[in-house]
Amino acid sequence: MSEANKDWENLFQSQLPNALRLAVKLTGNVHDAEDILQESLLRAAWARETFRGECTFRTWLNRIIVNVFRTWVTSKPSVETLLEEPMAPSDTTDEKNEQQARSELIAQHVSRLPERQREVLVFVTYEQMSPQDVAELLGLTIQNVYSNLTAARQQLRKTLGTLMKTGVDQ
Amino acid sequence: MNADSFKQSDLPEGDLDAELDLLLSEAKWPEADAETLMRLSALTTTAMQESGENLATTVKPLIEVKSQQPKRWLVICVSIAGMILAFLAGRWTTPSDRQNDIVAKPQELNPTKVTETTLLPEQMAPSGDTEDKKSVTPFMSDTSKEALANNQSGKLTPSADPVSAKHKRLSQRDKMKQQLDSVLACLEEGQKAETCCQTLLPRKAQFEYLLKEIVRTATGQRQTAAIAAMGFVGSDGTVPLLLEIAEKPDLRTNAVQSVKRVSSEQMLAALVVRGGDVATRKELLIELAHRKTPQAAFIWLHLVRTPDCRDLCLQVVDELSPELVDLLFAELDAPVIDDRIAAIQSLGRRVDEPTFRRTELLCQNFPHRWEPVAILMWNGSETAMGFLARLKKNPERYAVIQTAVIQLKTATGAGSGSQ
Repeated sequence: MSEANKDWENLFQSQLPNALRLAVKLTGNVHDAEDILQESLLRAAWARETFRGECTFRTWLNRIIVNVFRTWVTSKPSVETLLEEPMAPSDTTDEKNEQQARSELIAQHVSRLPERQREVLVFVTYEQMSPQDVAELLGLTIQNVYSNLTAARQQLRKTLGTLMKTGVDQ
Repeated sequence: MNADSFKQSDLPEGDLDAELDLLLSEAKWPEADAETLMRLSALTTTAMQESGENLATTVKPLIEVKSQQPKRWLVICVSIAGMILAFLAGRWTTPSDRQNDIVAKPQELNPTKVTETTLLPEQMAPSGDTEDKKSVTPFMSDTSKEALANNQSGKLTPSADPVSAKHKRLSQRDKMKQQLDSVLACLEEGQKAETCCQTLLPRKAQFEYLLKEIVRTATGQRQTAAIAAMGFVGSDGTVPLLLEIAEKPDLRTNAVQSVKRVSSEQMLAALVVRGGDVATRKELLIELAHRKTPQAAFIWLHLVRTPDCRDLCLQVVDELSPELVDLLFAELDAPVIDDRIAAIQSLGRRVDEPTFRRTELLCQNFPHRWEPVAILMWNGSETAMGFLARLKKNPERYAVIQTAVIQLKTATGAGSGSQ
């Protein structure tokens, strides 16, 4: 393998954990995330010469992941998502388990938001990106990003209402 | 207004946002294991190698965001139009078609030959010789000429194959097989199934199917590992296979362990009732006794009521889980007398201190209930009999004690289990 190829490979390898975490947040589970990342890595590897350095490599790779994710969402049967309702935290006396169940429940609710809202929320909240950057990455207008973000948060307030200390009108 | 009764509408937006942010920061997604990362890393290396050799301009970046749908459709339309043109060009360059065209319009090419060809119909058939080709090629585009040349020489146009790497991508089944292999290797190293098999849980049913094949065909350590893995991901459906395997003496222990793990409470009861090896039945009963569900308690009572299983059940009552003991105490209120008797017999045979103390408390707190008294009678230990002797001295308890005696006699045909 040439030196340049080696550098590319190192760059890809360094982004793998981040990319996998992002894919898991978008899909909600490791198995689908792995499928998406496989496809994304193949695409990225073949298209790497088109990376012109106008954004960070991570952003470039994230954009490919989002594209693959969108394809995956459209090809995934919607019935499946309907069936996989988030489970309520189990009644357990073990505080640690209870906390873990609560964390997982929140993650499940985030991963079940509508596709665009989920993308925006994940990038803004968990990838710490500014709405402007998210708009550019996702190919949306800045207003669209804000409206999706607001909708996502409202939805989560409803669904996570029981976990919020102050209580909500369900 | 009480602070606890705040509603969303009563709170400033900022507070709700802050609380939601706090909640969102707690979210925890499933973490990928090291094997997943390794698989992806290997895939990256392969893709880099392949693409490095063939990285022509054949692959477009594919990074335009997909919301720009019109562009994508434009690309598709252009591609379709291109394909149609290519097809038409191919048709145009087919020698026979071309020749027919020439012959059909002979006047335009060579008026002197017209009469000859029309007079000699056998020459109208395409001959395919080089002279004809020479007459055709001037009318063809460069692309068509190239295509024709390649077609004739049997060569294919060399092109990079960007899709080949996708074929290298593992299919779902291959991925699962790899995953299973690594789990079996982990088990063969002597590690616990709980440690090795966690990754199989999300796709239990599929892995169960693959494991059945391995258990049937593999030998030695691999078979043993597969049996252990099956115990972790299997369901009732694997029980017949595991019981078949359990007939081999060297695999019996592992197979029975797996049967115990995969079997539902109903399956355990069915296997106990079915009869067979006493040691195995006892092991299965102990497994049932360790379960904690109301279903397990219900089935336990049913087995105690079954004459063929009662003795075996009463031999392992000390294995009952604390949750099951609680449920059996609750069954002392059961509307069906047989259930109450079965619970009394089970609890009465336990020799542990907490059960005895709890029964004692029930006797004191519910002086008119005969069930706790019956438990102590069935227990028959020195401590229990001493407590009963003290009760007998109280004339108010006489009726309750007599009721307990009668109920036990009716149920078992004897005064008590140990008297």
